Amino acid sequence: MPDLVTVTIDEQKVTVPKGSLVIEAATQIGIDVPRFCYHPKLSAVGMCRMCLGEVGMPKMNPDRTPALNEDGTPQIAMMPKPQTLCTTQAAEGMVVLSETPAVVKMRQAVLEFLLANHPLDCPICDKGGECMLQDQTMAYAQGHSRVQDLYHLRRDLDKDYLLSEFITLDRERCIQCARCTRFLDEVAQDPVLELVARGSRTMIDTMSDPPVDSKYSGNTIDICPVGALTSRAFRFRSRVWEVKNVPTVSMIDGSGTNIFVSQRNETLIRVIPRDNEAINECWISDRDRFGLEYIDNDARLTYPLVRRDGKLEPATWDEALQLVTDKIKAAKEQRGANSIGAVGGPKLTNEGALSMARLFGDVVGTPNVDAGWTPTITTPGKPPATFYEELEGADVILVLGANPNEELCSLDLRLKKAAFQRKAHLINCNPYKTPLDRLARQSLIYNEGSEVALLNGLAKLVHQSWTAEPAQTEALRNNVEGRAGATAWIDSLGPYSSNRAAELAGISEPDLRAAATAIAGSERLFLLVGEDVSPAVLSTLQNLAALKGRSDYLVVLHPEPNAVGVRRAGLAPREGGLDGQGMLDATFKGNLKVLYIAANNPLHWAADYDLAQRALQTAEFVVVQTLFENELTEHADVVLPAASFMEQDGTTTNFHGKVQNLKQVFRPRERRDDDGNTLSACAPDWIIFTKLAQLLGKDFGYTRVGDWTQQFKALPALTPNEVRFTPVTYEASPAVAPEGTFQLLTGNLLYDGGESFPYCDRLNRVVPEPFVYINRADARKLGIENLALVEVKSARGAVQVRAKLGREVKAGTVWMPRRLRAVQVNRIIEVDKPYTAVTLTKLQDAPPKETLPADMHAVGVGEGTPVDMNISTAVVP
Amino acid sequence: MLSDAAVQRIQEIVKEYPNTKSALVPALYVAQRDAGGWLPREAMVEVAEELDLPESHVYSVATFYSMFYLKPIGENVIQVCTTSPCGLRGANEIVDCFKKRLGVGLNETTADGKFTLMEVECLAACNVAPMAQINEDYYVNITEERVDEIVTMLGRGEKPPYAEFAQNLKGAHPIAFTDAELGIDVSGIKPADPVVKKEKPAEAAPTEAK
Repeated sequence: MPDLVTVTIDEQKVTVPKGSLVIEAATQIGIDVPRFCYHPKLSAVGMCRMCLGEVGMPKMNPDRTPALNEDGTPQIAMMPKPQTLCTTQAAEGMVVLSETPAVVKMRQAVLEFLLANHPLDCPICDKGGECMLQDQTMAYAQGHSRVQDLYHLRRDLDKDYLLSEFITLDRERCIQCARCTRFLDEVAQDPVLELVARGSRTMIDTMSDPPVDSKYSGNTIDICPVGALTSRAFRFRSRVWEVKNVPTVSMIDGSGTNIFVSQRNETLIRVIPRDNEAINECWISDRDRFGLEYIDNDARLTYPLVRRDGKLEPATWDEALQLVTDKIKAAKEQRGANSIGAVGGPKLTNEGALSMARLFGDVVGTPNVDAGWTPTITTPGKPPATFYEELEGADVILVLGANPNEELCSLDLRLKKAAFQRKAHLINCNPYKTPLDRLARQSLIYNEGSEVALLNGLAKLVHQSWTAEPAQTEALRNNVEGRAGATAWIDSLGPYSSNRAAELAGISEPDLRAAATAIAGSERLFLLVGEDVSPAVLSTLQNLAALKGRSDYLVVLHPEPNAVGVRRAGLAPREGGLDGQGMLDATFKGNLKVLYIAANNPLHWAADYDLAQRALQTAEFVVVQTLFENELTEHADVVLPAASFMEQDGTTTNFHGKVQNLKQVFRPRERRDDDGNTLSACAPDWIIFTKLAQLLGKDFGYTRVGDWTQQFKALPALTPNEVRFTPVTYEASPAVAPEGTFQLLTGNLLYDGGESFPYCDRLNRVVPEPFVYINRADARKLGIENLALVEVKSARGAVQVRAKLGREVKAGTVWMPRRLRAVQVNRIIEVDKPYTAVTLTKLQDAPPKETLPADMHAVGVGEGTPVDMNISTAVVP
Repeated sequence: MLSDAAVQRIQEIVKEYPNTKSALVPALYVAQRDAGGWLPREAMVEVAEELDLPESHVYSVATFYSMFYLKPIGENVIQVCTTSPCGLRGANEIVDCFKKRLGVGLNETTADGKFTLMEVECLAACNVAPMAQINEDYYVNITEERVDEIVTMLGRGEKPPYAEFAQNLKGAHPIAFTDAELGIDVSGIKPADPVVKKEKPAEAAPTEAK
């Protein structure tokens, strides 16, 4: 229990933890202190002066006893000057007056200054209606401004200063509260916006390349208390009171971010965050904010397509579903159910996935069901229900083989908070550098493929230190002794001395030792691992978790939205069935005749592009259930238009297992005739699967999505897995690329230009050109300069991309995003080898540097000031 | 972009401070001298890289101080203080004088590239107002006649006798780094006058108690 103090605010008593700010205490009892710069999630700076109030403390006698009035109440000595309530800490006995005539007068004066250079263009301002300045001007400002007499001193500033692809700045409206710069500094940890110049010329600006280079920049628009930062996507599109804000959950990444979708007349106007302290707090990523436009795009499919004479032609739902039914029936009769394969995707809702699993598993009866094309690991057991709360309280966090900044935005912000604000000891292990390394107490850049050696080395050191230290024997007794497999496991650690483990992993031995010391002494250890590591690595992590006695603190990070839900719903190979990769193989070999693909794209996601393409060409009958026509539908015999997650009710599961409700925002997208009559419409996945089941002779009897939700919730609950130890040995020697070649590492990129990007106008513009990271030293040897065009060639094929030099990768390795626009690494990667060796050849010099337009960054001393600001020359009437 | 000497000097400077953030202003000085008297974007980016600071932070600091220039400037930079005390002593007339004599406005450079005229805030020499900082020296108690003299001499490549003007300036300080310290070739350039350290006046004898 922390120390508590009691303060009196406007004659109401409130008790708060010591160290709380007065403004927080006031909020607690419903007193709304006006503010601009203060934000509960940011540090307090007292810049805007709007929250001034009168503050007094109990008077003390010379003998340090409280001075009392005649009636026995304590005498209060008011401070001679007003205080900013957002920086004043509550103290015992403090008395605060937040609405006295003097305070109101001060607020009037503050507003008078804030409005001195404000254009008062509310009628054309996007912020109008949800603007703190507007509200507080209505509440406190007097109708007249004395500063208006000096109107000729008003400065004409940029009204449309483009900060980035997403944000524009109106310099006249900015009140320099520094909320945006503090957010990017403290929360996003991307200090790309700063206050520049000084005095009355102060403005915010960026110098990063690309401008405002943060995945969370859009949040500055929300927290801007005035209309200075506005969204370029939302600009002039609607008044905020005309839209309907529908609460739903973003299915763009695995975080399960809570959002409001503002819609008007079935049109998507904007996406804004919805507070949820358990998931995303009040932040969303730019991908959530600007990346959902694809749902409201005319390219969406609104009617089924059926291939006739080699061409895809529009068809009715009845026609298309009947054809699919006939083909499935025929294949089943002729070759058995095993000749049918179904692959769903993580973009299905829980209900969609469950109905698909029931349809193919129970009705069609095929064991070949999966939710993806490459094998991935899943969280063994159930993460804690209050996942983020416990993560923020962790003292040591180990992240392995994941880059949350490019994969899971909500988690990224929480990790930054844990490391920056809560001072958690973050150990970031990756084969290449990631943005999290900046905040990590330790970053272990290991050799790709040596994870098992690294983790076994860590475990051995932890176990050794406990054995050596008598004080720790309790931990040893509680967590290890007598546990399943403990003895065999301890024996199996034998060969992993710290020196050998460090050598195999390619890191320094003291680093390994320091990480082990942190883990050994930790109270609460979280282990977060990327989904692409091998099952053996997961087992070693399980051992490490078991060593600390908390198996539920091991969580697998799935970047895709409903990865956990679709697997729980049963989209996984049944007994003797094939997985996604196996289905592609079998299709190519002619054993699988019918392939049903829903919300997925093997050309995009399969490990081997060529195999996927050949399989699709060989397959007898391919059904694709999707939102858009794309390269995949070219191979389809039937294309079924699916509804997006915004067009249906349902539920989705995020990466740590939280099931959240989706709410329908739009009617499923329709095609209409000129009179407005609906001709056809896309349909939610669960309806398509339920109908197909009906046609195949099985009526589930479910007519509402809620029926499926109930079924999903009735699935066996996830339970924390048992604490046990499994010996895992590391056999392969570390991969060393042959002379002259480089080891190709791959990873995810948030803005990869895939799937939905072409239909998101703004987001598509920030997708980088295809590139490869090369170590600076390697590049120098090869004569490759930054941004030169290079050919990356493996035994399988070659791609041409731009070189980016830096310290992101170790010498001897190169890194490429797994998918980036047309360049897909799955065309050159060698699936059957432990790693892909590539050669680099320079094809072209770097393009000449683009010079910045002369008027960009024209602030500061060099600025030609159009208005003379010299006060002494101004005529004061 | 930055020369090796400059990078080396920046690394030396970094060692003198507890963290790289503190070394930013002197590092920017080095970069500015190295890049020809002003700070192009690339120079700021390189300083950011050398000091491992966010680029925007470097930009923020460079724009805050009036002694960093974000656009090419003339050979001689004339910065006239026009804050209140100087203003009361006629600084605005001095500015007008400079404008007339040079034929340029504020923040402009003469066509021959010799002079840039600027207006700055207080330079902490109010006791000798009106004053101006020209290149790295303080010129104090400027009169309209002096303006002509200063411009003429600077135009000929001579250094106007600033020391004489500076006699009234108690404790005048040179800027943090000289060319020699920055490792920049100074041959052909007259070294700055040595700073005369004024002896601390002896403690006045205690006056008799009244």
